[in-house]
Amino acid sequence: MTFCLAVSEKAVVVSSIDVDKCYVYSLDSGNVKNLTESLGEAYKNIPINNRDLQKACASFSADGKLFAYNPNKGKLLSIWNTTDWTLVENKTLAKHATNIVFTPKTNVIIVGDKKGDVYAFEELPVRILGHSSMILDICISDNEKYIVTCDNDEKVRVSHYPNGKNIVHYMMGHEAYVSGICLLNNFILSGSGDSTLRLWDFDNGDLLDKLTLQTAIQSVIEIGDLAAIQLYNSKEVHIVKTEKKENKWNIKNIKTIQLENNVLDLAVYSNQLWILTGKSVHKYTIDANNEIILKIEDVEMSHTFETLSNLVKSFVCMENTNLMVFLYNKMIDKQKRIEQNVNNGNPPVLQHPKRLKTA
Amino acid sequence: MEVTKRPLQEDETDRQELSLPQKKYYRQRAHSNPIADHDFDYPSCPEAYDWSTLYPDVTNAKSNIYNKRVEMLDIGCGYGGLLVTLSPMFPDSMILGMEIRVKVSQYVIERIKALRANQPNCYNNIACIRTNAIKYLPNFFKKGQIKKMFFLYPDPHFKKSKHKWRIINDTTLSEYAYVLAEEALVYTVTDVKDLHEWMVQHFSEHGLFKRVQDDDLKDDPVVDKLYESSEEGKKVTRNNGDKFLAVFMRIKDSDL
Repeated sequence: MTFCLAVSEKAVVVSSIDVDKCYVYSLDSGNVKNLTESLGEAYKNIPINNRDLQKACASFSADGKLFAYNPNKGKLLSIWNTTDWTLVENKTLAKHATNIVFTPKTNVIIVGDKKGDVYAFEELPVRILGHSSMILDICISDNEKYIVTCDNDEKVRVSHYPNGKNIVHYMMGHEAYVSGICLLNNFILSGSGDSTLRLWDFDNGDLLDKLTLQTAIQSVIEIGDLAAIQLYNSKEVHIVKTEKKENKWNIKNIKTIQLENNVLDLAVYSNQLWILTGKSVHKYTIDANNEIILKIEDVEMSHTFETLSNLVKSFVCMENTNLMVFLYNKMIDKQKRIEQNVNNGNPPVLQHPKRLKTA
Repeated sequence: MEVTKRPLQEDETDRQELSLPQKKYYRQRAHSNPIADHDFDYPSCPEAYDWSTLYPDVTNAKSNIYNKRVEMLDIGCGYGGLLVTLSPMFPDSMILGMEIRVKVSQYVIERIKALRANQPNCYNNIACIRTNAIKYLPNFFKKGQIKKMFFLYPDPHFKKSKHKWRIINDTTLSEYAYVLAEEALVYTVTDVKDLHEWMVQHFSEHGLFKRVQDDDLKDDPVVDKLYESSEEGKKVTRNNGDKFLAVFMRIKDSDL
């Protein structure tokens, strides 16, 4: 995911970390601004980073007044005021960010990084918790009492917030990296490279249901009472919901949205689901009660889609710095090694793992 | 991997005297990178692990440990000295050693096998696995399952850049607190003063642990054994080195 998408009431942001551009499209005026150009002289002098694995992240605060994203260079967290799109502050991170979210009520910026640490950025950065591998997604409960995190090591974890050192549950069971989580009512829905979606009870950490999809899951996003699921290297977006059947909660796949190009990122604002593909941006509205999903193709919106589409087409994606591609390939390599060993009659543990080519 | 010893045949375990493995064949460099992705064999969740492969008596209704689960953990168990000492002291508890170094863990596994064969009905409550305790504790244990945890002579990782590899740090302490029951004890011993201070500082600042005062440790039968049972401990005694002990208790979160 070297591309990302973020949406608020008044703006759509498309960002590419490889070409180091973050375009804000104003839904009111139709104007476009590249935030990366306004990061200052000092920023321009830093050489572009095209070696490290990076993930583009961007997020609006719940009230839409603040915006934060990570530019390509210098491990920065760039914070913007969205009323006039002026830079509030650039904060320096300890490691590359892999996820940026705002707390729902207090608008504190929470950043997960490649080392596995999660920081809250108020006046000074405070370390909330740490994982022993890269953080891939973060959710904060609506009452801001809990923080849910998932990592590269198959773990989903619920911790107290802000005292994240106190762990409530580990939800164990995924067999590959956990790429996305979201909170659905009183449940946690997690998606993983092992192609499964799992539904967990928030209160006791029990596994309630498991749904296997065609391929690795790349992100999971909540939209009302439903969730939208993005798959790895796929043109489909799945919409799922939780459903009680014979006293048991299940995950039900209610609809598949088919797109013309590979899906790169999803974003949600209110009941709108925005989808970023390699060629364009699409908008859907979701009526969770009646499970109706409508594609928005109004004439008034045509300028929006055309402009966004031109911006997206100017992006270049570099395979070697794409974090999700790296994680996927690493998982496949591991499966192959285990398979080979089983075929050779060896136990499924390698004593001397070959150093992997990290693309 | 070089073959250092003829592998034991199944029927050999029935023979009268089984020779203990010799340590000289199981030497390995002392340091290991705990953050690298080595291939380990681990369960996806605690329910998925078959403990009877390590403790055959778990399924034996006549045994002391029938249907029990692991309650004591020796993290970085080395050559297994503490496991062997604790086994007769706590016959009703299942004790597990975790060691990241391949050869060293193989030594302990062979050692326990030989001890069990030589003294039937003894040492059935101890076992050792090769794993990375920094990454995989929640894969093996449920919340609040562990009653005692040991860190004897952990790798001091002297260089500042390697401090993140230390077995006690902010991140790992939260995981230990998760698998430990309330009022469970954590024992640490080291011969490195700097590491001792580091461990005391991290445990004290974490919020879910409190230091147990030395006076309260007098009646604890485990404490005496900590100094001498492990191979590292004997080495330090031979060299007349210092030994620093610190014991911590898992406490309830005062914020809740």
